[in-house]
Amino acid sequence: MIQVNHVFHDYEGKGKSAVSDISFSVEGGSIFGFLGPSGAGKSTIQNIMTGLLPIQRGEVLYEGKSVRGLNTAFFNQIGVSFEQSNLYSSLTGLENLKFYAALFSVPTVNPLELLDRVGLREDANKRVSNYSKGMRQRLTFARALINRPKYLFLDEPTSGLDPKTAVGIRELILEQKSRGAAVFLTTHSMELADALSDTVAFLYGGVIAAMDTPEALKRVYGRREVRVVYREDGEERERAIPMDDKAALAAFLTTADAIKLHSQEATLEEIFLRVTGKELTA
Amino acid sequence: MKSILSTCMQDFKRLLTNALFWVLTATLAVIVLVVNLALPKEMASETVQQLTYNAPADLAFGVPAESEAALREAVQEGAAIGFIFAKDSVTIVHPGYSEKTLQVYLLELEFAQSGAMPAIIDVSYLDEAAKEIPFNLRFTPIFIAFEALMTGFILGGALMLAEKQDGTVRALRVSPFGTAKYVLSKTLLFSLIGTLYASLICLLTVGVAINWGQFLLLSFFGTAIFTMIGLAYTSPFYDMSGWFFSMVVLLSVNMLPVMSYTSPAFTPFWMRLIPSYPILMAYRSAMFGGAADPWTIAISIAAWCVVSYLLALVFVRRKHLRGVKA
Repeated sequence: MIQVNHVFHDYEGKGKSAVSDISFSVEGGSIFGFLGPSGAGKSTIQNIMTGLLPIQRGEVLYEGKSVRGLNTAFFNQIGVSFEQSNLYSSLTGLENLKFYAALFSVPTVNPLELLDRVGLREDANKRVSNYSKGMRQRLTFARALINRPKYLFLDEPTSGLDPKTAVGIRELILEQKSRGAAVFLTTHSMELADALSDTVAFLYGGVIAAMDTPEALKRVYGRREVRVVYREDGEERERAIPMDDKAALAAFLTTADAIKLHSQEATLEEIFLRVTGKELTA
Repeated sequence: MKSILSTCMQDFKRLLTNALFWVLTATLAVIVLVVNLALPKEMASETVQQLTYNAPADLAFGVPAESEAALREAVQEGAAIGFIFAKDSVTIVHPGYSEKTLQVYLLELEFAQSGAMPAIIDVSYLDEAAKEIPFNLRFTPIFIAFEALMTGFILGGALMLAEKQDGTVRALRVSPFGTAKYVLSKTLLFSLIGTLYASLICLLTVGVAINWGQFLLLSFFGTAIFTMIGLAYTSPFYDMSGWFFSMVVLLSVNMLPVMSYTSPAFTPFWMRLIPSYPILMAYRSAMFGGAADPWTIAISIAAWCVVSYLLALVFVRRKHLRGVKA
């Protein structure tokens, strides 16, 4: 389990924190969706959790041990997929994975198998400098899985991918969860977070504005409605009726010339807007 | 060890696509051509004619000039030294020789005047091997020390900067590949490349008749020292331009021991503290024999190995692997 307790970070040391009092935990075998617009502080928290940034205030614990005192062997358990692909462009995709695999002192996954899973098998021996942005993104993701990490950090893993490839990546992420990995998913894609996350946190302005399971957030902040499309005076019209108000719904359906019925619940996007007052954009 | 060797291999593959690597390799070929074809094997010592005017008839010294004006004209042209005799004195006309050189001529004149000129003037060398070094080969140790051994400094730095620019250093930072392995992997790779380059230059210029044991050890650890200094030095830099210009200054200071190599009389204490000094002297000893004290050299190089390793560890850890911009 990863625990983040009351973490603050001030880049300039002038009292203006990029993130303030951030606390949450990520259980093994679960996916934690960390949502927020650009500049909200998502990467700052991920960098603190992975040791790329020093902890100024607060604590990050892995199975109860502080990240401050962890040695290099600890990184055998971590996998990080960065938003901006950072690969050796003069090496091939296969060479990149082989190189990275050799850095670990734990059993690693067959690089060709991973390339196959992310749809890069045929391009395994092509230099990364000749890869498209999406291919680099997939290779960066594959590299994060090479050591079968216990703690997996994913930063916008499906950004810029075509729908079919994105589905494949989602399946791989769920597989990591199934084998017991604690997955920390940083994204501004509410749809991805909704589909994968067991818990989501909305980060806005450097603080966590809301945090719970997607279902609970929808229950608390969302409005479950039935949208009725009906005909009146020769025109198609639409009306939304709260799902809880069964009497009103029944009364309307008995009187109106209903054409279509849609059950509808609030999306995370709408909830984010409601909680923060701002739209979630990249 | 597996991770160190793997990193060596991948870095070598990256080198093959690096233009700087091929520039340095081409320089190696140019050096071999220059030593073998452009530099003479012997510097023909120009014959300086000793001209005399108004010398005693029985003096067996120099060649009489037709006139004082002719003597002065010959000296002016730089091909002669003149001795103008008067009743009680001799005036030496010369194109600017040092006091020591003039003393040699005066000594020769004194011998001639006294009639006690020795038949043979023998020259004794402190280092018997030194007198046999052909002129062109005297430069081989310099070329090796400042080209072959510098590959790690230059190329290691170039690889580090590339890691920062393409962001791969961030991936390394979240891997179990620690600073010590990082430093050792690059040092091992460039020490092997430097040793190969040095051996090729030596084989193709000086030949095979050298102390190979000493030469190979020197090349390996010499390159290791400069590679580790280079890694430490490059760590704070983020782009090639700032790094390259300041590196030129550093390498220029490192070349100062060439002065002591060519003029051994000029070896102040501070010169011995520059890492290239013991290496340069040891190369001369390994290739041509000589009086270099092996223990002093071994201790100097060992000390520089330790110092450069510690420097590399501290700077790479603080400025390269941990000092990653957020």
